[in-house]
Amino acid sequence: MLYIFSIIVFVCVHGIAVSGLSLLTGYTGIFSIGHAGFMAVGGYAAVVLYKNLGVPFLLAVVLGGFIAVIVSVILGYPALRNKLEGDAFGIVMLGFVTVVRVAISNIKPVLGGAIGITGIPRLSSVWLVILITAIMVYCMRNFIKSDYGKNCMAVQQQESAAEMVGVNPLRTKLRALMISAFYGGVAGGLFVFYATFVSPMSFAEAKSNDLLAAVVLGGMCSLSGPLMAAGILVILPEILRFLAVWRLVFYGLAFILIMLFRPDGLFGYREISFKWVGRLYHKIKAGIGERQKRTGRG
Amino acid sequence: MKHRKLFALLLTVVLSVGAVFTGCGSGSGQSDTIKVGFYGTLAGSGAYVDTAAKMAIEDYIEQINANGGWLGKQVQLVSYDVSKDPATESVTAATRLIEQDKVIGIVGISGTASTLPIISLCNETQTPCIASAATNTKVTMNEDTGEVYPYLFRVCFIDPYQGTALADFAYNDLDIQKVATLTRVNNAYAMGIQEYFKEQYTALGGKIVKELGYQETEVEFRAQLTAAADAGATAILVAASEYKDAGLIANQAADLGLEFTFLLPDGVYASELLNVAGDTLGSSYISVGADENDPAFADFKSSFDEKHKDSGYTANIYTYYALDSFMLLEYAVKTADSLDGPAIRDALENAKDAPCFTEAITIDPETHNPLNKSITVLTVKDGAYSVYKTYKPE
Repeated sequence: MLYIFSIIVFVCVHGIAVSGLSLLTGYTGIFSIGHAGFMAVGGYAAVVLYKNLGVPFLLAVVLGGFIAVIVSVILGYPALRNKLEGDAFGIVMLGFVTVVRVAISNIKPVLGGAIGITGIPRLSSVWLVILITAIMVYCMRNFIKSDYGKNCMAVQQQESAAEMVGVNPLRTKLRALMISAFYGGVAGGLFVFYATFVSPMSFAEAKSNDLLAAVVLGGMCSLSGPLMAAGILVILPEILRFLAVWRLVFYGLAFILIMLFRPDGLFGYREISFKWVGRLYHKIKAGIGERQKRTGRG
Repeated sequence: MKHRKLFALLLTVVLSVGAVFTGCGSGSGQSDTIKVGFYGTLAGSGAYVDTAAKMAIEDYIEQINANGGWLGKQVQLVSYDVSKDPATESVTAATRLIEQDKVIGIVGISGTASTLPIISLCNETQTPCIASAATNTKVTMNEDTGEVYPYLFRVCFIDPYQGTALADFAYNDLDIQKVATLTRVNNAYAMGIQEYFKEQYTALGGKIVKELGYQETEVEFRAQLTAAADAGATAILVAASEYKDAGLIANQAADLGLEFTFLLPDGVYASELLNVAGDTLGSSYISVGADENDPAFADFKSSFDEKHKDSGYTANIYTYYALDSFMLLEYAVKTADSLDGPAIRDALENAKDAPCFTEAITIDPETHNPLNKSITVLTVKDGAYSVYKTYKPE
């Protein structure tokens, strides 16, 4: 089960980060190419708090999330105030992840430089990670459905129009950035306490790319779509292991195929819904009722 | 609609085929085969290290099986690629090897960064792991407690050993007074070499005039080279982990008309380096654990290169290190006369003059590093490597 568990943990960790990014990129329309930077900040912060300052594990992970939020404000406030949008902000984030990675690589005491920190206890148990993921995804769903979430969508679709009806775009964008940074930070913390090792390479560009790919592949205005895509992006490389060296070729090919056949992403603007279960139930019930009626009559 | 169906069909086929193969792992724990695990970068620009290593181990296993295997059982290598994201994938790959494939040990891991994530996994599951070229001290020792990790071993020398030896050599043998360092930042190996070099070199009285760095994606080094020249450096320690970096650096220095003595660690040692920069590496010195072209390995190398001609891979130094790690495991299995994790571990810890590929290896029980590894300094002459000297540091 260890193998399955490890995959589940990585799916959940990616799921948390992706649900944060989906708010920022999908719903609010701010591209972030370097979201793994927040995972790095959160992950490192959690480990340092736990190892050097004796903060309990769960609190350290949550505080790691908040430290990522602080970083996001320092980074995001000037950028968003200057109305850096879409691609421009994407480049800011690209710079950010590089700065974080190289800065950590150069800080030898406490952070361990390029070699990273080893000997971290494995405290992220699979059940705990699943529970935290469920809670965080549920909160995100509620946020997106709330007025705040609708403000985000309004800003994404027509910023000027949204401003005209009284939505403050700066505040809305900053809020989305802060929340997604928190999600990234917590995901980083949980990841580190499962991998038992953290180095700047744990949050390389590949990770940022995977997160962004999950949002785009899953559907830009959907939460369940990106979550499912996050799962696929972790599971697919494992499933494709039988292809040996061709594995990553097919992995990339899957991206192309999805985008080709589903330009809006797997789910587009829809969500996974379980309403059909109810509908099916009613249908079956009605069917049985009708048959009973018929047999009764016969 | 048609497209959608086709897409759904494709996805289903890929996933179900994959699921079938994924499931295979758990079912094939037959007791008449001994499985040994291996993972590494088997795709991408770094694949020249691990792919050749994997091929060499597989060839060697063929020989073993032809001679009756280990303890009367056939041996099989199970290998996985982790090139997509080593920090995450080495965890899943190692977990899969240990749990689903039920390997008796993991050998041949060539990088520090892909060994560190699996330390606690190996210790918890009592699976011995022998790294072939993970040179950082943290691979076998817990830095906080100073204790050795019970199930982690290595067959290569460590960064301090090599960094220090290079510094000694530069200062004492070459009489170089001013060195600049050019390091691949955020690479654990490169940073380790630079750190220990600097420590020893300044302790000896040499001067590091400039500490420069570069990112893994960089291909342009002229700015750093000019800065090094301006600072008055006569030699540059190129702490790189792939030959392509060292090749580009040497070529660009030549373009600029700068003449440096290049000091290189074993991470860049590959015959491909000569193809890239054979002419421009005029006065450079590479410290390695063994000379790739040592006559002692000539037979092996020529037969390997011949056999795998079509693959484009040739035997390199990492191939030898990987064989060392596999042969050390073989020694331990035979000595312990058991496939039990703890028994193999004990045999590894007490290995004395274990017959391995490059030389006989004795493991230091205190550190799980090989004792008294010899260092060979190579230089490039007429577009080929030649041995400058071989010695065993005290």
